[in-house]
Amino acid sequence: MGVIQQIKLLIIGESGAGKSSILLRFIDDSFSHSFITTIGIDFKIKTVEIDGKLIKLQIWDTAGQERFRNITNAYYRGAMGIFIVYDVTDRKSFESLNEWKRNVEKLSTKDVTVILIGNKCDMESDRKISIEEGRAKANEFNCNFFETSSKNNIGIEEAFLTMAKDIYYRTKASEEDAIQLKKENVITLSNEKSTKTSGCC
Amino acid sequence: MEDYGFLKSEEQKSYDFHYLEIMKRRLKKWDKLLEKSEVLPPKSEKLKRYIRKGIPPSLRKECWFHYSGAERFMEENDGLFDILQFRELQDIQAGYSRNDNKIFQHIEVLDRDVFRTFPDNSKFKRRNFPDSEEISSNSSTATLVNFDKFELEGESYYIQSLRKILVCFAYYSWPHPNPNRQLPKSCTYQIGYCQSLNFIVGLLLLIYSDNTIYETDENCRYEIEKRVFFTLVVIIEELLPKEVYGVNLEGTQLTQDVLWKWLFNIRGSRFGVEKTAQWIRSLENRKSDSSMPPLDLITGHWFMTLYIGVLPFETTLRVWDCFLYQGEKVLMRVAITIFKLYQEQILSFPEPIQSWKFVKEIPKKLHDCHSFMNIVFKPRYPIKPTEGSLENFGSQINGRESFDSQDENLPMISNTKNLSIRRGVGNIPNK
Repeated sequence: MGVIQQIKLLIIGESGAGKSSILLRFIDDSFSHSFITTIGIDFKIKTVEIDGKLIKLQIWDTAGQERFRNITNAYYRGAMGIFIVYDVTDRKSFESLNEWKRNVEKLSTKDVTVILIGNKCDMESDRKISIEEGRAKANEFNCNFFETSSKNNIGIEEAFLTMAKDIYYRTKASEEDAIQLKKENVITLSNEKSTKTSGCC
Repeated sequence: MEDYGFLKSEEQKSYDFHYLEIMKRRLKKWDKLLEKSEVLPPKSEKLKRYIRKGIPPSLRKECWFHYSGAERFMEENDGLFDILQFRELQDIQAGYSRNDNKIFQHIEVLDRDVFRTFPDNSKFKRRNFPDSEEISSNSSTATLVNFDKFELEGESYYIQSLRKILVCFAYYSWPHPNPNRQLPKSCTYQIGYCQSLNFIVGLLLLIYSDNTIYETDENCRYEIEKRVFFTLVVIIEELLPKEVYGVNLEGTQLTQDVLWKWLFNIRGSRFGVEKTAQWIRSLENRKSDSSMPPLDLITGHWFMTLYIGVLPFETTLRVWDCFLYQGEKVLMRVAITIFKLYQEQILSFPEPIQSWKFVKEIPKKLHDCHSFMNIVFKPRYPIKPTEGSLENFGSQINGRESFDSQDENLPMISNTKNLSIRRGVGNIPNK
């Protein structure tokens, strides 16, 4: 069984929201006590299976500080799915979500799949953003929403699989549409031919 | 060799065995060089050769502080650090909030990075976690709306000094909301805090505190913090081009454009990097291949962090020996050398994305710092990367050959055209 599709995903969000740790949890199923500030960008690859088909996920992780956005803009190019991450214990990271969303709208393709992630949900006593508030934001963005914890391994696999499935079915559907459209065109053409004889058009 | 608090890899250990002998030899040479004089000798061709072959660890901190220009700069601006170190507390007491003092926002960002600088280094390791269970990568303490929450008591002096110096620099490099709070030396650029500076300050702390009573003596600690601060300022103001860390990272983008020019240009071929250039060109032409982000995102990281965390630690120190003596062009040479050394491998992958990953990861393997630095300075074509404006750069690197800016393969220089770049070579005499 070969890989049938490659999907490019991005993880964006405020510095310190836990983007790199989410990626590490998904790729290695581990959690590190010693993360280093991400400068520039990095990527990891993981293959998942959907409906018996292998899908290769290429996931890009970037620096969160505002001034790095200028140089990381190019990295939105060709992304099919984007995770926007905030930290449930940090209101500022939540407040910056609109700006990240605007960036997505400006720089990525129209049909990109967005998933909102509230990370560090294990830190209940430090929580500043309720799950309801997160959900409301996701409604506003018209996207899926997950609360996750890289440390306790909550929600991460689900978020990535939801993303992969959404893109897989979406692109599959549009391929089928395209095939369908082709067929219809053929039919239309032959119809045209037949109608021409009747002097119509 | 000294480990400066880092765990050494097996490769590094086995290289050290061989390197130790080299450094012993070098130390003898340096001892001879210095025996006649009480002070460090002035810059010279001979000294430059010595520095390129590696400053002995025992002399490193003095050499860095002196030859970078930080010593002079500190003398000229006596008192500046003393003012800056109380600014944060003053502002908290004066009731400033993050909304009316942008510097507080910079501090929020840097607070997230103090434990993310050298987390594996014994001197920078986090000791206390907000709750004993919690070890999330960047921790809730980073939310600095409530200042009491950022608690450093019980953390190592290195962590405390790191934060203190970064905060001082934020106050130095960002205008204060109260115009009456002017500093004896005004700053002509705006940085506040930029990720990468944490690594630079961390590295300087490790070197400057080496073999001192930093951990036991408060005055010594203060003196070292001050030296680190002024070295940071000199790196940003005198050794690097403008705006490398500014709010748009314009200088970083410019250095990358310049690097690509070096690689593509005729002199690039004299550096033996034709194949890499070819490969990068093919990437440029494959714009439709949407999964490939520009290589700048890798090399930009190299320049911004001055190779900290990119190269092995000992190799980074050797690059810094030369960088602090000669400035930015050293960084350029190092980048070109990496592309030169590995061009065959870079080109050997079927997928561009694999090459991309290779370029990203390969510098970590450069343990043989002595041979590496030897290649960095060969051939002896002069590099004056960003002297003058970029337009001048074009004619300058080509010497007598005319610079064909119409070359469609050259990377586009967009918003950096008017950015005039300061000479990046410090105060060394011209040949």
